[in-house]
Amino acid sequence: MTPTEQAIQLLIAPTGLFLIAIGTSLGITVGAIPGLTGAMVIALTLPLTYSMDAGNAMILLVSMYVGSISGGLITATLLRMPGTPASVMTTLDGYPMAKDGQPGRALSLSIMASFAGGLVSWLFLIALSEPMAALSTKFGPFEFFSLVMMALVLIASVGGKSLSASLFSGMFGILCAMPGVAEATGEVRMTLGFEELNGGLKLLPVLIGLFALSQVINDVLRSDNSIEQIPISNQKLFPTLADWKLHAVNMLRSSVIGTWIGILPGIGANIGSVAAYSTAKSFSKTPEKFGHGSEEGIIASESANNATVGGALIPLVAMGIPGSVIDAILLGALVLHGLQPGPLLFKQSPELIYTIMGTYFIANFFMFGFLVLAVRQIARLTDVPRAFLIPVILTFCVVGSYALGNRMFDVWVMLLFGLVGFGMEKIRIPLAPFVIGFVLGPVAETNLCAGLMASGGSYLPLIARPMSAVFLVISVVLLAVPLIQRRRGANMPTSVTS
Amino acid sequence: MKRIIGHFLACFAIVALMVACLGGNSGSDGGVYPARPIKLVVPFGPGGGSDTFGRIIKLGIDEAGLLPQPFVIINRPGGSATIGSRYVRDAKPDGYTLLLLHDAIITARYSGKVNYGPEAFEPVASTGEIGMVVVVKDSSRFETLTQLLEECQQKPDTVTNGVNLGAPTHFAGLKLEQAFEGAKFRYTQSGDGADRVQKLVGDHIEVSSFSVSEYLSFESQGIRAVAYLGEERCDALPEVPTALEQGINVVDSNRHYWWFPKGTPKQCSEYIAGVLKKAMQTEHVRERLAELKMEPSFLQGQEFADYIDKQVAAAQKVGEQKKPDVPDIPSGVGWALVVCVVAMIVERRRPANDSPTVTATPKDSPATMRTVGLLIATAAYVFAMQYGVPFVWATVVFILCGGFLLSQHKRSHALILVETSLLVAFGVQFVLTKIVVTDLP
Repeated sequence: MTPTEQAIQLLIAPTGLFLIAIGTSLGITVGAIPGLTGAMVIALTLPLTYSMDAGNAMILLVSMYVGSISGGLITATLLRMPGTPASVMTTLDGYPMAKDGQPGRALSLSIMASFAGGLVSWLFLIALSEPMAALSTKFGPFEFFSLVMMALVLIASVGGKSLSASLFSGMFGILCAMPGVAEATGEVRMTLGFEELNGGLKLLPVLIGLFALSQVINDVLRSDNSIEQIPISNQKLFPTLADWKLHAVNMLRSSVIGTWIGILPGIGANIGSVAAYSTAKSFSKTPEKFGHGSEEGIIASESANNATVGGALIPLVAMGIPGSVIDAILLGALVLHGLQPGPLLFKQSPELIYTIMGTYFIANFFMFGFLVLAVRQIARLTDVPRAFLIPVILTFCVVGSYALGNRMFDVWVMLLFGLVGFGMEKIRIPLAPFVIGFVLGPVAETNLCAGLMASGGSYLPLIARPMSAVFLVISVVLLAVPLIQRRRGANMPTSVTS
Repeated sequence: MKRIIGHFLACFAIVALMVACLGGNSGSDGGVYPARPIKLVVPFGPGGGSDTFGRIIKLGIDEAGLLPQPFVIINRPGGSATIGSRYVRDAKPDGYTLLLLHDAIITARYSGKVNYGPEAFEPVASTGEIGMVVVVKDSSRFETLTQLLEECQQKPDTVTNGVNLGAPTHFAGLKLEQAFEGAKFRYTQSGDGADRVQKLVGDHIEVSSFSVSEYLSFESQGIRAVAYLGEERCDALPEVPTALEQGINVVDSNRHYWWFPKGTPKQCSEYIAGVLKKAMQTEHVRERLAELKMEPSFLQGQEFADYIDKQVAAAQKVGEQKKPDVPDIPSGVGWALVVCVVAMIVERRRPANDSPTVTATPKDSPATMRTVGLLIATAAYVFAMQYGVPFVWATVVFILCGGFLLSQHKRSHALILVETSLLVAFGVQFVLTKIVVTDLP
């Protein structure tokens, strides 16, 4: 049986389809509820997948990923609250349109765009992954080090408002990954006297703390004066053929933008939708309508944010480098299931990669179906009283962190990083660079040390090897551009993300 | 009406879960070993030789039904196997955490990685003997081991040898150096088997050593063995000459050892040794080992202890290695962090030219109080479990308290809260202990 057949068999088995259905619907629901994010639910689901085999675990997690990015559109349109950060831009046009008495149309367009974005980026996923993996098998330690440096700079310079705050966050992430046995030398370092730290801080408790617990703290702090939800009544949700035709160009363009931004390591769905939104605005014949219920705006935002999912999966399967926070969790899932992420994954377990690709494809159809059929019911779910939800989420945070290593130490780590995450957001330091630094820091260090051992301590190959040099030059340019722009006093177009 | 049905369903689910959880528990803790799943820690990344071997044995055990409880493999790679071995050394010696580790358990100490060796563990058994081969890339200029070592002798410290520092791959190199006066490799930390192949094929290292099974599974990727480090040629690789044939006096092989943490009851290690012995004789394991050209030998008890002593003596002869010379990365990162902080402070001093979009946090003191209360409750919940309060009851109480705190003591929510707490507590207990095999506090 070929790997492709194996993957198809796994996917069309009742278990596979059931997991996709569960994953997608749960993802959508969680995405729709403000305050619950995809990263949170996926981190909390991960411990539950221990007993599954790797294929099924990835089916469930990838479906959740797809669902959670899409679910945000419901709340964005009906409540003017982004259900997930990815749908910030959808609120700008979706809500005005819904308020104008066309909630059905706004939702229908968003759903159509999400679906299109997913499919377009899926095409890129299947077309680009294998060549990229083949290319990166040529990478040696120096190339990997430079690549990681580029990824870190990229997320810092594009991802947030303040370069220094993002860089700080990334560096802090790297530092937090250092305690324990150093990969390169085997020495134990920076454990502050805690024997438990010998194995280092584990990814999962840190992530659950940063993204689930700190979010809970924020939710509880926010006094919940709920906004009136716009009722959908009985409007038609299935997009018409005319709509498809009318918006085809915009959808395609925005999806391609979303995919490419997704591929860049560390930059999440919200940047993708911002970029596509501003591009659509500059191409539009009616740019003045943007922000006041423009159909094009909704299309651009939603197709781009869904497209980033497929884009971000590309470096994950091809090189083992996560394209977003959720991909960092998926990376952790691969390791937990005994798979070595990296360029060799294509050779060692191709069936798993095809399973991920297949899941992504099918999950988009499920997502489309669920949203068209059940958007009303899901919208109603968004006002589950917090009093029930939050203690349950906290329980899952505790259990999820504990189950990883069966030790209470990890739970305390989770609680600590919950406070750290909350504090960082409070002083406007973005969290995403932290995660990417935390995941990629050890990769960078190990590769640098391995490279230096091979070169006899010489740093020269970093710039003498062409590929490595290219990555470093890009990093320097990315760092320099914002600085020069500021020097000139030019008013840089500030990104609208929050 | 709808509501009543809802409550009814919830109660039904709670009772069902309670029965499922408590019913199962009473039977399983009767003092019969093993009462819980046994975790096997493999201190290497997936796909390498040890991992493959562990999984073969696991399948053998599962298929023949040799253990009444699941046998779960956990990969804990890194630090040349010291992360995994430390984890097992520090684990509870209750017979539920097993370590699969070859000679690295001996070599790690002599490379200065850890200050413990085999004596920190309870030996269980040794299974399967694996030969080692010295490997280069297909297109390499080295045709024989002698050629390779001669170059190392003429130009010491130029030929890069990809090893897992302090692991048997490293010691294989050191033994070669010892046998060939003046030869010197440049050792490079290159990770586990799968990593080393990639680096070899990508021309990032020139030489590496692999176990025969690793070599066979990676052979198609463009690598070539120049010597087999056994007494006689290996059946699986008849065309590869031994080092002895080439006039280099090195014999090196590797065995897989199974360990328990020190202090594990004898009865447990004997039981597991028995299971492993049976597993080695199952058809599945025999077939797979034959495929991997591994000898299905088995050592236990005194025989095993003697063998370990011999290996320790051999490692001692090669001696302690100095630590590799790498830059001080933690301080580098520390300084970078300081620079970022300074930059951030400078940036924030300036008047922000973008619109002040920062939402002023509402100084809503009841909300703050609720948050603090909830955090304290969470901490208390974790504390309680750490000091032995059973998971289910701690959870029920925690969800009830948290819910009441957040709902601002609304009576109408009470019933649903009670249901939620029971449902979640028993649900999680059920899923984690019965379906996923982890143990709860």
